[in-house]
Amino acid sequence: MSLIEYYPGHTFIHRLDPRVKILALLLTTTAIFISENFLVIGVICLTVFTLWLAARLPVRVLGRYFKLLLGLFTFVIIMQGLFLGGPTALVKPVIPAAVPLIGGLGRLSLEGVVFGILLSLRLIVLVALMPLVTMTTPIHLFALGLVRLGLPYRIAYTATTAINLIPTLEKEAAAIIAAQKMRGFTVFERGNFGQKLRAYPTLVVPLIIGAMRKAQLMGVAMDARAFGYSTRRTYVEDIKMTAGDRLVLAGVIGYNLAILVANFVL
Amino acid sequence: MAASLIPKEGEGMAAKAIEIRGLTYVYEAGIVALRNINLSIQRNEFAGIIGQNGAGKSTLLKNITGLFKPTAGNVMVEGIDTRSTTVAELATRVGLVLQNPDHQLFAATVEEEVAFGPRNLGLEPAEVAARVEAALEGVGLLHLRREFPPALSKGDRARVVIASVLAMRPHIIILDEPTSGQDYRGCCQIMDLARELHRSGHTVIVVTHQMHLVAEYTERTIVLCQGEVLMDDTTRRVFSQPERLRRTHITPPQVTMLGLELAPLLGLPEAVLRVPELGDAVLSHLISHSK
Repeated sequence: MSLIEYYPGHTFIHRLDPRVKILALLLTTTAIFISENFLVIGVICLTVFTLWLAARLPVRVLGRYFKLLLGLFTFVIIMQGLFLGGPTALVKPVIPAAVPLIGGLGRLSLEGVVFGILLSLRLIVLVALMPLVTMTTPIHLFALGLVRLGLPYRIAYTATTAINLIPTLEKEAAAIIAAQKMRGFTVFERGNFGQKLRAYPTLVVPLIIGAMRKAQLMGVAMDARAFGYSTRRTYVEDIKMTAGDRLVLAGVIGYNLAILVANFVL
Repeated sequence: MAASLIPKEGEGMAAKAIEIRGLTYVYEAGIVALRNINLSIQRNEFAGIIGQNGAGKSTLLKNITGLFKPTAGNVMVEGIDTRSTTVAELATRVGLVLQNPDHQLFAATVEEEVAFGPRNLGLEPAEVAARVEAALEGVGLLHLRREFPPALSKGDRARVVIASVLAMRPHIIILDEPTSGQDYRGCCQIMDLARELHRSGHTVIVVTHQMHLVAEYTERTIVLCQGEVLMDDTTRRVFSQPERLRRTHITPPQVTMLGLELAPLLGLPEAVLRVPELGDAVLSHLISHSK
Protein backbone atom coordinates (compact mmCIF):
# COMPACT_ATOMS: atom_id res chain seq x y z
CA MET A 1 0.00 0.00 0.00
CA SER A 2 1.33 3.44 -0.86
CA LEU A 3 1.06 6.57 1.24
CA ILE A 4 -1.03 8.44 -1.31
CA GLU A 5 -3.80 6.00 -2.08
CA TYR A 6 -7.15 6.88 -0.50
CA TYR A 7 -7.81 4.90 2.64
CA PRO A 8 -11.56 4.86 3.23
CA GLY A 9 -12.90 5.86 6.62
CA HIS A 10 -15.44 7.99 8.41
CA THR A 11 -13.33 9.81 10.98
CA PHE A 12 -13.59 13.58 11.43
CA ILE A 13 -10.37 13.97 9.42
CA HIS A 14 -11.94 12.10 6.52
CA ARG A 15 -14.98 14.37 6.67
CA LEU A 16 -13.08 17.67 6.86
CA ASP A 17 -13.37 20.07 3.94
CA PRO A 18 -10.45 19.31 1.58
CA ARG A 19 -9.56 23.02 1.53
CA VAL A 20 -8.95 22.96 5.28
CA LYS A 21 -6.74 19.88 4.90
CA ILE A 22 -4.72 21.35 2.03
CA LEU A 23 -4.19 24.63 3.88
CA ALA A 24 -3.24 22.77 7.04
CA LEU A 25 -0.71 20.76 5.04
CA LEU A 26 0.84 23.89 3.50
CA LEU A 27 0.99 25.80 6.81
CA THR A 28 2.39 22.93 8.82
CA THR A 29 4.97 22.05 6.16
CA THR A 30 6.22 25.64 6.30
CA ALA A 31 6.25 25.53 10.09
CA ILE A 32 8.35 22.36 10.00
CA PHE A 33 10.93 23.98 7.74
CA ILE A 34 11.16 27.00 10.02
CA SER A 35 11.49 24.95 13.20
CA GLU A 36 15.02 24.39 14.46
CA ASN A 37 14.15 23.41 17.98
CA PHE A 38 14.01 19.77 19.06
CA LEU A 39 11.18 20.41 21.48
CA VAL A 40 9.05 22.10 18.81
CA ILE A 41 9.72 19.36 16.24
CA GLY A 42 8.94 16.80 18.94
CA VAL A 43 5.58 18.45 19.61
CA ILE A 44 4.75 18.48 15.89
CA CYS A 45 5.78 14.82 15.68
CA LEU A 46 3.46 13.96 18.52
CA THR A 47 0.58 15.91 16.96
CA VAL A 48 1.01 14.19 13.59
CA PHE A 49 1.08 10.71 15.11
CA THR A 50 -1.95 11.46 17.27
CA LEU A 51 -3.78 12.51 14.11
CA TRP A 52 -2.71 9.26 12.41
CA LEU A 53 -4.38 7.36 15.20
CA ALA A 54 -7.43 9.65 15.10
CA ALA A 55 -7.81 9.07 11.35
CA ARG A 56 -7.42 5.30 11.91
CA LEU A 57 -4.74 5.12 9.24
CA PRO A 58 -2.54 2.00 9.09
CA VAL A 59 0.53 2.95 11.14
CA ARG A 60 2.22 -0.29 10.04
CA VAL A 61 2.50 1.02 6.47
CA LEU A 62 4.21 4.15 7.74
CA GLY A 63 6.69 2.01 9.64
CA ARG A 64 7.58 0.22 6.43
CA TYR A 65 8.35 3.50 4.67
CA PHE A 66 10.52 4.64 7.56
CA LYS A 67 12.51 1.46 7.30
CA LEU A 68 13.13 2.26 3.64
CA LEU A 69 14.24 5.79 4.57
CA LEU A 70 16.63 4.61 7.27
CA GLY A 71 19.53 4.60 4.81
CA LEU A 72 18.80 8.19 3.82
CA PHE A 73 18.65 9.28 7.48
CA THR A 74 22.03 7.68 8.17
CA PHE A 75 23.49 9.34 5.09
CA VAL A 76 22.15 12.77 6.05
CA ILE A 77 23.44 12.50 9.63
CA ILE A 78 26.93 11.39 8.56
CA MET A 79 27.21 13.98 5.79
CA GLN A 80 26.15 16.80 8.08
CA GLY A 81 28.58 15.55 10.71
CA LEU A 82 31.43 15.50 8.20
CA PHE A 83 30.84 18.76 6.40
CA LEU A 84 28.84 21.12 8.59
CA GLY A 85 31.66 21.67 11.05
CA GLY A 86 31.41 22.92 14.62
CA PRO A 87 33.61 23.30 17.69
CA THR A 88 32.97 19.84 19.22
CA ALA A 89 34.72 16.97 17.44
CA LEU A 90 33.29 13.46 17.87
CA VAL A 91 35.88 11.83 15.63
CA LYS A 92 39.32 13.33 14.94
CA PRO A 93 40.15 14.18 11.31
CA VAL A 94 41.41 11.25 9.22
CA ILE A 95 43.55 13.64 7.19
CA PRO A 96 45.62 16.10 9.28
CA ALA A 97 44.50 19.72 9.11
CA ALA A 98 47.93 20.76 7.80
CA VAL A 99 47.35 19.05 4.42
CA PRO A 100 46.30 21.70 1.88
CA LEU A 101 42.81 21.61 0.33
CA ILE A 102 41.63 18.31 1.78
CA GLY A 103 43.10 18.85 5.25
CA GLY A 104 40.75 18.19 8.18
CA LEU A 105 38.59 15.82 6.20
CA GLY A 106 37.03 12.99 8.14
CA ARG A 107 36.32 15.08 11.21
CA LEU A 108 32.84 14.34 12.59
CA SER A 109 31.39 17.28 14.52
CA LEU A 110 28.76 16.94 17.21
CA GLU A 111 26.94 20.02 15.90
CA GLY A 112 26.73 18.50 12.43
CA VAL A 113 25.42 15.19 13.73
CA VAL A 114 22.79 17.00 15.81
CA PHE A 115 21.73 19.05 12.80
CA GLY A 116 21.56 15.84 10.74
CA ILE A 117 19.25 14.32 13.32
CA LEU A 118 17.09 17.46 13.18
CA LEU A 119 16.87 17.21 9.38
CA SER A 120 15.94 13.53 9.65
CA LEU A 121 13.23 14.34 12.16
CA ARG A 122 11.85 16.99 9.82
CA LEU A 123 11.77 14.40 7.06
CA ILE A 124 9.94 11.94 9.30
CA VAL A 125 7.28 14.51 10.14
CA LEU A 126 6.89 15.50 6.49
CA VAL A 127 6.52 11.92 5.34
CA ALA A 128 3.92 11.28 8.02
CA LEU A 129 2.08 14.56 7.44
CA MET A 130 1.23 14.24 3.76
CA PRO A 131 -0.77 10.98 4.03
CA LEU A 132 -3.03 12.69 6.60
CA VAL A 133 -4.39 14.61 3.60
CA THR A 134 -3.89 12.25 0.69
CA MET A 135 -5.04 9.09 2.44
CA THR A 136 -8.12 10.69 3.94
CA THR A 137 -9.35 12.57 0.86
CA PRO A 138 -10.82 10.95 -2.26
CA ILE A 139 -8.83 12.22 -5.21
CA HIS A 140 -11.76 14.00 -6.90
CA LEU A 141 -12.46 16.00 -3.74
CA PHE A 142 -8.76 16.80 -3.44
CA ALA A 143 -8.85 18.22 -6.97
CA LEU A 144 -12.00 20.17 -6.18
CA GLY A 145 -10.32 21.55 -3.06
CA LEU A 146 -7.40 22.79 -5.14
CA VAL A 147 -9.77 24.41 -7.65
CA ARG A 148 -11.76 26.19 -4.92
CA LEU A 149 -8.47 27.47 -3.53
CA GLY A 150 -7.91 29.18 -6.86
CA LEU A 151 -5.88 26.71 -8.89
CA PRO A 152 -7.00 26.42 -12.56
CA TYR A 153 -8.90 23.19 -13.14
CA ARG A 154 -6.48 21.95 -15.79
CA ILE A 155 -3.55 22.18 -13.41
CA ALA A 156 -5.48 20.64 -10.51
CA TYR A 157 -6.59 17.83 -12.80
CA THR A 158 -3.06 17.23 -14.06
CA ALA A 159 -1.70 17.12 -10.51
CA THR A 160 -4.33 14.74 -9.22
CA THR A 161 -4.08 12.51 -12.29
CA ALA A 162 -0.38 12.21 -11.69
CA ILE A 163 -1.02 11.21 -8.07
CA ASN A 164 -3.74 8.82 -9.22
CA LEU A 165 -1.40 7.08 -11.62
CA ILE A 166 1.35 6.34 -9.11
CA PRO A 167 -0.26 3.12 -7.82
CA THR A 168 -0.84 2.05 -11.44
CA LEU A 169 2.80 2.65 -12.28
CA GLU A 170 3.87 0.80 -9.15
CA LYS A 171 1.85 -2.22 -10.26
CA GLU A 172 3.30 -1.92 -13.73
CA ALA A 173 6.83 -1.79 -12.33
CA ALA A 174 6.14 -4.93 -10.28
CA ALA A 175 4.88 -6.70 -13.41
CA ILE A 176 7.99 -5.65 -15.35
CA ILE A 177 10.32 -6.85 -12.62
CA ALA A 178 8.44 -10.17 -12.54
CA ALA A 179 8.73 -10.47 -16.31
CA GLN A 180 12.50 -9.91 -16.21
CA LYS A 181 12.87 -12.33 -13.30
CA MET A 182 11.30 -15.01 -15.44
CA ARG A 183 14.10 -14.47 -17.93
CA GLY A 184 16.65 -15.33 -15.29
CA PHE A 185 17.36 -11.72 -14.31
CA THR A 186 18.32 -11.56 -10.64
CA VAL A 187 20.17 -8.25 -10.35
CA PHE A 188 17.31 -6.50 -8.53
CA GLU A 189 17.36 -9.23 -5.89
CA ARG A 190 21.02 -10.05 -5.57
CA GLY A 191 23.09 -7.50 -7.50
CA ASN A 192 25.28 -4.83 -5.95
CA PHE A 193 24.62 -1.10 -6.27
CA GLY A 194 26.55 -0.66 -9.52
CA GLN A 195 24.86 -3.63 -11.17
CA LYS A 196 21.46 -2.37 -10.09
CA LEU A 197 22.21 1.07 -11.51
CA ARG A 198 23.18 -0.44 -14.86
CA ALA A 199 20.12 -2.69 -14.78
CA TYR A 200 17.64 0.18 -14.53
CA PRO A 201 16.99 0.45 -18.28
CA THR A 202 15.32 -2.98 -18.15
CA LEU A 203 12.77 -1.49 -15.78
CA VAL A 204 12.61 2.15 -16.85
CA VAL A 205 12.34 1.70 -20.63
CA PRO A 206 9.15 -0.42 -20.58
CA LEU A 207 7.75 1.75 -17.80
CA ILE A 208 8.23 5.02 -19.71
CA ILE A 209 7.07 3.64 -23.04
CA GLY A 210 4.00 2.22 -21.32
CA ALA A 211 3.31 5.53 -19.57
CA MET A 212 3.58 7.45 -22.83
CA ARG A 213 1.20 5.04 -24.57
CA LYS A 214 -1.21 5.40 -21.66
CA ALA A 215 -0.98 9.21 -21.68
CA GLN A 216 -1.77 9.31 -25.37
CA LEU A 217 -4.82 7.08 -24.95
CA MET A 218 -5.97 9.09 -21.98
CA GLY A 219 -5.74 12.33 -23.93
CA VAL A 220 -7.93 10.88 -26.68
CA ALA A 221 -10.42 9.55 -24.13
CA MET A 222 -10.61 12.96 -22.42
CA ASP A 223 -11.04 14.84 -25.70
CA ALA A 224 -13.79 12.38 -26.64
CA ARG A 225 -15.63 13.45 -23.50
CA ALA A 226 -15.19 17.17 -24.15
CA PHE A 227 -12.55 17.91 -21.55
CA GLY A 228 -12.09 21.68 -21.30
CA TYR A 229 -15.17 22.51 -23.37
CA SER A 230 -16.63 24.89 -20.82
CA THR A 231 -14.78 27.22 -18.48
CA ARG A 232 -17.59 26.96 -15.96
CA ARG A 233 -17.42 23.41 -14.66
CA THR A 234 -19.95 21.87 -12.36
CA TYR A 235 -19.18 19.01 -10.01
CA VAL A 236 -21.18 15.92 -9.16
CA GLU A 237 -20.13 16.10 -5.53
CA ASP A 238 -19.60 19.62 -4.22
CA ILE A 239 -17.82 20.71 -1.07
CA LYS A 240 -19.12 23.16 1.51
CA MET A 241 -17.25 24.77 4.37
CA THR A 242 -19.18 24.15 7.59
CA ALA A 243 -18.83 25.95 10.91
CA GLY A 244 -16.86 22.95 12.17
CA ASP A 245 -14.48 23.21 9.22
CA ARG A 246 -13.89 26.89 9.95
CA LEU A 247 -13.23 26.10 13.58
CA VAL A 248 -10.63 23.47 12.65
CA LEU A 249 -9.01 25.90 10.21
CA ALA A 250 -8.80 28.52 12.96
CA GLY A 251 -7.27 25.87 15.21
CA VAL A 252 -4.68 24.95 12.56
CA ILE A 253 -3.70 28.59 12.06
CA GLY A 254 -3.45 29.09 15.83
CA TYR A 255 -1.33 25.95 16.17
CA ASN A 256 1.12 27.07 13.50
CA LEU A 257 1.33 30.59 14.93
CA ALA A 258 2.15 29.02 18.28
CA ILE A 259 4.96 27.01 16.64
CA LEU A 260 6.31 30.17 15.04
CA VAL A 261 6.31 31.99 18.37
CA ALA A 262 7.82 29.00 20.16
CA ASN A 263 10.70 29.00 17.70
CA PHE A 264 11.54 32.58 18.58
CA VAL A 265 11.07 32.22 22.30
CA LEU A 266 12.80 28.87 22.91
CA MET B 1 12.99 -25.80 -33.23
CA ALA B 2 15.01 -28.95 -33.00
CA ALA B 3 13.33 -31.78 -31.15
CA SER B 4 16.74 -32.78 -29.78
CA LEU B 5 16.48 -29.85 -27.35
CA ILE B 6 13.85 -31.70 -25.42
CA PRO B 7 15.33 -34.22 -22.98
CA LYS B 8 14.38 -37.82 -23.71
CA GLU B 9 12.49 -40.18 -21.48
CA GLY B 10 14.50 -41.55 -18.58
CA GLU B 11 17.15 -38.86 -18.59
CA GLY B 12 16.65 -38.11 -14.95
CA MET B 13 13.51 -36.14 -15.67
CA ALA B 14 10.30 -36.41 -13.71
CA ALA B 15 7.55 -38.04 -15.74
CA LYS B 16 5.18 -35.22 -14.88
CA ALA B 17 5.79 -31.72 -16.19
CA ILE B 18 3.70 -30.08 -13.50
CA GLU B 19 2.29 -31.63 -10.38
CA ILE B 20 0.09 -29.52 -8.13
CA ARG B 21 -1.15 -30.90 -4.82
CA GLY B 22 -3.62 -29.11 -2.58
CA LEU B 23 -2.54 -25.68 -3.77
CA THR B 24 -4.20 -22.81 -1.94
CA TYR B 25 -3.12 -19.25 -2.54
CA VAL B 26 -4.25 -16.33 -0.43
CA TYR B 27 -3.32 -12.75 -1.36
CA GLU B 28 -1.93 -10.36 1.22
CA ALA B 29 -5.29 -8.62 1.49
CA GLY B 30 -6.87 -11.95 2.54
CA ILE B 31 -8.48 -12.76 -0.80
CA VAL B 32 -8.47 -16.51 -1.45
CA ALA B 33 -7.55 -16.76 -5.13
CA LEU B 34 -7.00 -20.53 -5.35
CA ARG B 35 -8.58 -23.19 -3.17
CA ASN B 36 -7.19 -26.71 -2.91
CA ILE B 37 -6.13 -27.14 -6.54
CA ASN B 38 -5.03 -30.62 -7.63
CA LEU B 39 -3.66 -30.88 -11.13
CA SER B 40 -1.08 -32.92 -12.87
CA ILE B 41 0.14 -32.16 -16.34
CA GLN B 42 2.09 -34.82 -18.18
CA ARG B 43 5.02 -34.14 -20.39
CA ASN B 44 4.17 -33.11 -23.93
CA GLU B 45 0.54 -32.34 -23.19
CA PHE B 46 -1.27 -29.49 -24.94
CA ALA B 47 -3.71 -28.11 -22.40
CA GLY B 48 -6.01 -25.13 -22.27
CA ILE B 49 -7.01 -23.27 -19.13
CA ILE B 50 -10.28 -21.37 -19.28
CA GLY B 51 -12.42 -19.49 -16.79
CA GLN B 52 -13.90 -16.08 -16.17
CA ASN B 53 -11.87 -13.06 -15.17
CA GLY B 54 -10.95 -13.49 -11.53
CA ALA B 55 -11.27 -17.29 -11.65
CA GLY B 56 -7.63 -17.60 -10.59
CA LYS B 57 -5.95 -18.33 -13.92
CA SER B 58 -3.16 -15.78 -13.60
CA THR B 59 -2.58 -16.62 -9.94
CA LEU B 60 -2.19 -20.27 -10.92
CA LEU B 61 0.37 -19.37 -13.60
CA LYS B 62 2.34 -17.23 -11.16
CA ASN B 63 2.44 -20.16 -8.75
CA ILE B 64 3.74 -22.45 -11.48
CA THR B 65 6.51 -20.04 -12.48
CA GLY B 66 7.50 -19.54 -8.85
CA LEU B 67 6.65 -15.83 -8.75
CA PHE B 68 4.17 -16.73 -6.03
CA LYS B 69 4.85 -19.42 -3.47
CA PRO B 70 1.83 -21.49 -2.34
CA THR B 71 0.08 -20.47 0.86
CA ALA B 72 -0.64 -24.18 1.34
CA GLY B 73 0.09 -27.27 -0.74
CA ASN B 74 2.85 -27.90 -3.26
CA VAL B 75 3.71 -27.02 -6.81
CA MET B 76 6.28 -29.28 -8.45
CA VAL B 77 7.77 -28.35 -11.82
CA GLU B 78 9.61 -31.30 -13.36
CA GLY B 79 9.86 -32.78 -9.90
CA ILE B 80 11.24 -29.62 -8.29
CA ASP B 81 9.30 -27.92 -5.52
CA THR B 82 8.85 -24.24 -6.45
CA ARG B 83 9.40 -23.32 -2.82
CA SER B 84 12.93 -24.74 -2.83
CA THR B 85 14.19 -22.85 -5.86
CA THR B 86 14.34 -19.44 -7.55
CA VAL B 87 12.27 -17.92 -10.32
CA ALA B 88 15.41 -17.69 -12.44
CA GLU B 89 16.16 -21.41 -12.09
CA LEU B 90 12.53 -22.31 -12.83
CA ALA B 91 12.67 -20.10 -15.91
CA THR B 92 14.89 -22.68 -17.61
CA ARG B 93 12.14 -25.27 -17.13
CA VAL B 94 8.94 -23.33 -17.56
CA GLY B 95 8.57 -20.24 -19.75
CA LEU B 96 5.64 -17.88 -19.35
CA VAL B 97 4.64 -15.70 -22.29
CA LEU B 98 3.00 -12.70 -20.68
CA GLN B 99 -0.32 -11.22 -21.57
CA ASN B 100 1.15 -7.79 -22.17
CA PRO B 101 4.31 -7.99 -24.28
CA ASP B 102 5.17 -4.39 -23.46
CA HIS B 103 5.98 -5.37 -19.88
CA GLN B 104 9.28 -6.84 -20.86
CA LEU B 105 10.53 -5.13 -24.01
CA PHE B 106 13.38 -2.79 -23.20
CA ALA B 107 16.28 -3.51 -25.52
CA ALA B 108 17.29 -1.49 -28.57
CA THR B 109 16.94 -4.39 -31.01
CA VAL B 110 14.88 -7.55 -31.27
CA GLU B 111 18.09 -9.57 -31.20
CA GLU B 112 19.26 -7.94 -27.94
CA GLU B 113 15.87 -8.50 -26.41
CA VAL B 114 15.94 -12.21 -27.14
CA ALA B 115 19.56 -12.52 -26.00
CA PHE B 116 18.78 -11.01 -22.59
CA GLY B 117 17.50 -14.24 -21.04
CA PRO B 118 20.30 -16.56 -22.24
CA ARG B 119 22.89 -13.98 -21.13
CA ASN B 120 21.35 -13.96 -17.66
CA LEU B 121 21.92 -17.70 -17.60
CA GLY B 122 25.61 -16.99 -18.05
CA LEU B 123 25.95 -18.81 -21.36
CA GLU B 124 28.88 -18.50 -23.77
CA PRO B 125 28.44 -15.80 -26.46
CA ALA B 126 28.39 -18.44 -29.22
CA GLU B 127 25.65 -20.37 -27.43
CA VAL B 128 23.67 -17.16 -26.87
CA ALA B 129 23.93 -16.30 -30.56
CA ALA B 130 22.83 -19.80 -31.56
CA ARG B 131 19.82 -19.67 -29.26
CA VAL B 132 18.79 -16.22 -30.49
CA GLU B 133 19.04 -17.41 -34.09
CA ALA B 134 16.98 -20.54 -33.39
CA ALA B 135 14.34 -18.70 -31.36
CA LEU B 136 13.89 -15.94 -33.95
CA GLU B 137 13.69 -18.50 -36.71
CA GLY B 138 11.11 -20.41 -34.70
CA VAL B 139 8.77 -17.44 -34.53
CA GLY B 140 9.62 -16.21 -38.03
CA LEU B 141 11.20 -12.93 -37.02
CA LEU B 142 14.73 -13.31 -38.39
CA HIS B 143 14.11 -10.49 -40.87
CA LEU B 144 13.26 -8.06 -38.04
CA ARG B 145 16.26 -8.83 -35.84
CA ARG B 146 17.66 -5.30 -35.99
CA GLU B 147 14.35 -3.50 -35.35
CA PHE B 148 13.41 -1.58 -32.19
CA PRO B 149 10.91 -3.89 -30.41
CA PRO B 150 8.43 -1.27 -29.15
CA ALA B 151 8.05 0.01 -32.71
CA LEU B 152 6.86 -3.35 -34.05
CA SER B 153 3.23 -4.29 -34.65
CA LYS B 154 1.35 -5.88 -31.77
CA GLY B 155 1.52 -9.33 -33.34
CA ASP B 156 5.26 -9.06 -33.89
CA ARG B 157 5.80 -7.78 -30.35
CA ALA B 158 4.02 -10.88 -29.08
CA ARG B 159 6.35 -12.98 -31.22
CA VAL B 160 9.43 -11.27 -29.84
CA VAL B 161 8.25 -12.17 -26.35
CA ILE B 162 7.64 -15.78 -27.39
CA ALA B 163 11.12 -15.88 -28.93
CA SER B 164 12.65 -14.49 -25.75
CA VAL B 165 10.97 -17.28 -23.80
CA LEU B 166 12.05 -19.91 -26.33
CA ALA B 167 15.64 -18.75 -26.01
CA MET B 168 15.56 -19.87 -22.39
CA ARG B 169 14.87 -23.37 -23.77
CA PRO B 170 12.20 -24.38 -21.26
CA HIS B 171 10.39 -27.70 -21.70
CA ILE B 172 7.12 -26.23 -20.59
CA ILE B 173 5.72 -23.16 -22.30
CA ILE B 174 2.74 -21.30 -20.92
CA LEU B 175 0.98 -18.68 -23.01
CA ASP B 176 -1.17 -16.27 -21.00
CA GLU B 177 -3.87 -14.93 -23.32
CA PRO B 178 -1.46 -14.76 -26.24
CA THR B 179 -4.19 -13.79 -28.67
CA SER B 180 -5.77 -10.85 -26.86
CA GLY B 181 -5.91 -7.84 -29.13
CA GLN B 182 -4.89 -9.87 -32.18
CA ASP B 183 -6.99 -10.15 -35.31
CA TYR B 184 -8.18 -13.56 -36.49
CA ARG B 185 -5.12 -14.15 -38.64
CA GLY B 186 -2.79 -13.14 -35.80
CA CYS B 187 -4.63 -15.49 -33.42
CA CYS B 188 -4.24 -18.44 -35.78
CA GLN B 189 -0.58 -17.70 -36.40
CA ILE B 190 0.23 -17.63 -32.70
CA MET B 191 -1.81 -20.77 -32.02
CA ASP B 192 -0.15 -22.53 -34.97
CA LEU B 193 3.17 -21.61 -33.41
CA ALA B 194 1.98 -23.10 -30.11
CA ARG B 195 0.98 -26.29 -31.93
CA GLU B 196 4.37 -26.45 -33.59
CA LEU B 197 6.06 -26.12 -30.20
CA HIS B 198 3.90 -28.93 -28.91
CA ARG B 199 4.81 -31.13 -31.87
CA SER B 200 8.50 -30.47 -31.32
CA GLY B 201 8.15 -31.96 -27.84
CA HIS B 202 7.20 -29.07 -25.55
CA THR B 203 4.50 -29.18 -22.94
CA VAL B 204 2.21 -26.32 -23.88
CA ILE B 205 -0.42 -24.63 -21.74
CA VAL B 206 -2.61 -21.88 -23.18
CA VAL B 207 -4.81 -19.58 -21.15
CA THR B 208 -7.46 -17.89 -23.26
CA HIS B 209 -10.98 -16.53 -23.40
CA GLN B 210 -11.49 -17.63 -26.99
CA MET B 211 -13.26 -20.96 -26.82
CA HIS B 212 -12.94 -21.75 -30.52
CA LEU B 213 -9.16 -21.64 -30.14
CA VAL B 214 -9.26 -24.01 -27.17
CA ALA B 215 -11.54 -26.36 -29.11
CA GLU B 216 -9.48 -26.15 -32.26
CA TYR B 217 -6.05 -26.68 -30.75
CA THR B 218 -5.90 -28.25 -27.31
CA GLU B 219 -6.27 -31.89 -26.23
CA ARG B 220 -7.18 -31.21 -22.65
CA THR B 221 -9.11 -28.39 -21.01
CA ILE B 222 -9.05 -27.27 -17.42
CA VAL B 223 -11.92 -25.06 -16.30
CA LEU B 224 -11.32 -22.81 -13.32
CA CYS B 225 -14.20 -21.28 -11.42
CA GLN B 226 -13.82 -19.07 -8.35
CA GLY B 227 -10.41 -20.45 -7.50
CA GLU B 228 -11.32 -24.10 -7.92
CA VAL B 229 -11.03 -26.67 -10.71
CA LEU B 230 -14.57 -27.02 -12.05
CA MET B 231 -13.72 -29.45 -14.86
CA ASP B 232 -10.58 -31.16 -16.06
CA ASP B 233 -10.98 -33.53 -18.98
CA THR B 234 -10.39 -33.94 -22.69
CA THR B 235 -11.45 -30.81 -24.54
CA ARG B 236 -14.16 -32.80 -26.32
CA ARG B 237 -15.73 -34.02 -23.10
CA VAL B 238 -15.53 -30.59 -21.46
CA PHE B 239 -17.32 -28.88 -24.32
CA SER B 240 -19.98 -31.57 -24.52
CA GLN B 241 -21.34 -30.36 -21.17
CA PRO B 242 -22.66 -26.86 -21.85
CA GLU B 243 -24.93 -26.91 -18.76
CA ARG B 244 -21.97 -27.36 -16.44
CA LEU B 245 -19.95 -24.73 -18.28
CA ARG B 246 -22.82 -22.28 -17.94
CA ARG B 247 -22.10 -22.18 -14.21
CA THR B 248 -18.99 -20.20 -14.98
CA HIS B 249 -20.61 -18.31 -17.90
CA ILE B 250 -18.70 -20.15 -20.61
CA THR B 251 -20.38 -21.20 -23.82
CA PRO B 252 -18.79 -23.85 -26.05
CA PRO B 253 -17.93 -22.76 -29.59
CA GLN B 254 -20.90 -22.22 -31.91
CA VAL B 255 -20.05 -25.27 -33.99
CA THR B 256 -20.10 -27.45 -30.87
CA MET B 257 -23.48 -26.04 -29.81
CA LEU B 258 -24.89 -26.64 -33.29
CA GLY B 259 -23.48 -30.16 -33.23
CA LEU B 260 -25.14 -30.85 -29.88
CA GLU B 261 -28.47 -29.63 -31.29
CA LEU B 262 -28.10 -31.81 -34.36
CA ALA B 263 -26.72 -34.84 -32.51
CA PRO B 264 -30.06 -36.75 -32.30
CA LEU B 265 -30.70 -36.16 -35.98
CA LEU B 266 -27.22 -36.98 -37.21
CA GLY B 267 -26.57 -39.68 -34.65
CA LEU B 268 -23.29 -38.10 -33.54
CA PRO B 269 -21.50 -40.22 -30.93
CA GLU B 270 -19.59 -37.26 -29.40
CA ALA B 271 -19.38 -33.46 -29.43
CA VAL B 272 -17.79 -31.82 -32.45
CA LEU B 273 -15.06 -29.23 -31.96
CA ARG B 274 -14.25 -28.07 -35.47
CA VAL B 275 -16.30 -26.91 -38.43
CA PRO B 276 -15.04 -29.61 -40.85
CA GLU B 277 -16.04 -32.33 -38.38
CA LEU B 278 -19.65 -31.16 -38.41
CA GLY B 279 -19.53 -30.64 -42.16
CA ASP B 280 -18.41 -34.23 -42.68
CA ALA B 281 -21.14 -35.53 -40.35
CA VAL B 282 -23.86 -33.57 -42.18
CA LEU B 283 -22.53 -34.70 -45.54
CA SER B 284 -22.44 -38.38 -44.63
CA HIS B 285 -25.93 -38.06 -43.15
CA LEU B 286 -27.26 -36.56 -46.38
CA ILE B 287 -25.55 -39.21 -48.48
CA SER B 288 -26.90 -42.08 -46.42
CA HIS B 289 -30.43 -40.63 -46.56
CA SER B 290 -30.44 -39.87 -50.25
CA LYS B 291 -30.05 -43.53 -51.07
